[in-house]
Amino acid sequence: MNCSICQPLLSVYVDDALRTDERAAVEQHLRGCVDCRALAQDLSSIRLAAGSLEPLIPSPHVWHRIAAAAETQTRASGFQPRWFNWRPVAAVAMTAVLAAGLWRVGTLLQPDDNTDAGPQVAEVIESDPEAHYTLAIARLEEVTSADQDVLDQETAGAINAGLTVIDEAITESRAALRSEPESESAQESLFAALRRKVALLQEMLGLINEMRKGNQAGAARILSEINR
Amino acid sequence: MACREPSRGARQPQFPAPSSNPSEDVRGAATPSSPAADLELAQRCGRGDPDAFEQLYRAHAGRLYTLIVRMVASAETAEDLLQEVFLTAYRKVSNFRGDSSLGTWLYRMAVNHCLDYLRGRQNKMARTTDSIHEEGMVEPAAVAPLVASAISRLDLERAIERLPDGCRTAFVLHDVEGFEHHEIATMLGISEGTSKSQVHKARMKLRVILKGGLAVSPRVMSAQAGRV
Repeated sequence: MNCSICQPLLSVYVDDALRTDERAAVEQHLRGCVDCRALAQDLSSIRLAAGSLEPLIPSPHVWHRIAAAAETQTRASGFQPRWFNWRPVAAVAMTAVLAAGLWRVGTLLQPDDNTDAGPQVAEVIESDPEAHYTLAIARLEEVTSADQDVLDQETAGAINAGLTVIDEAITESRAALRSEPESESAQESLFAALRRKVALLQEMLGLINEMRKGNQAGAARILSEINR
Repeated sequence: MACREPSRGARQPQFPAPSSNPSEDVRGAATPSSPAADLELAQRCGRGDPDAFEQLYRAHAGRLYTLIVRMVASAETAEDLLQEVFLTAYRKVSNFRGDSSLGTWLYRMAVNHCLDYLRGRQNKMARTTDSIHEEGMVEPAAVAPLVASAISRLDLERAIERLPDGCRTAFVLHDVEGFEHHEIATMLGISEGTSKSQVHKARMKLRVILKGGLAVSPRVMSAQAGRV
């Protein structure tokens, strides 16, 4: 056996899955070949390291997005379970649908979901990506402005200050885009700022929901996320 | 040598039959569960019980997210896909009959969503990753051998992100998730030999990356710059 025959077998060798005769031939070659022996050791190390990788944790806001969007599905099907307050949640869900992006909208807005907003949303998203953020923001702002009395003054003030900073970034990005309409970085900056605003408004609505439910732990969790 | 993508022809991958012990169907199941408990939880979710849905999420989200992040190599996309998996589960949980554990049922759904996403990305972008990666590939210098305990987890996670989709999928399923080649072949609609070959190619590329022998491609630089 030479190196060109041995090396393709080494992954299966380190997996201990070669036939007995192949294994014997590989081991005989390894005894006399420094390069192949080093390769086998490296492949084995990679395999071991990969097997001990630690679990990763999704961001806490993912659950809020999912819960809100699930509520929309439930309402669209005509079923009324006990869930969150419907008004802010419906707006969050709509935003979640919008923020999920162009490629995901089809699965969330099934034809049999009977949602009035579906076709309009899909048209907006397909025709103008920026518009879907703008629409989402408008809907979220409508609800937050009506319900933010649930929040204490300090919290509402901090969130509004954050929104102001984001608004400034949006304004700057739009100005940059006007002077350089083809600039991809300006376009990306604008979308990033719009996404940040959607996310913050979503978190604000999540917070409002938790406060209305009297769930202090849930509210604290969202607050720490906002502060971070 | 270029890594091939998983079979593009298999629209709905077939999965290995679940084992007799549902809690061991899928590697590293987050929460041990009995068939009766799974069925009850599914029925509660199907009735629109928000606590049950949250329980389902808390029990399985971490594991699914970990799988998805590593398969699609993007935390942001993984969150979108995780949301989609749970919303699909929410819609379909009434059909759950307990033939497998809830963990396996969700896991299949997550793998299918990942594969659909990767196929869509492939079609959309006509990726040139293999050629890009091959162009930048140089043999590692004769440096010290890799030692599993000395490979930084962060380095390994980043190196996995840089693999082409095809061999990354096989590698994650085999070396990280612990599936056998025949199981991966069934899932991806490829031969067992192709699965072995993909895993070997992934390990070879990882070896080069971890030893610093891979020039960073513009695509990778761009992706890393956008990931703050």
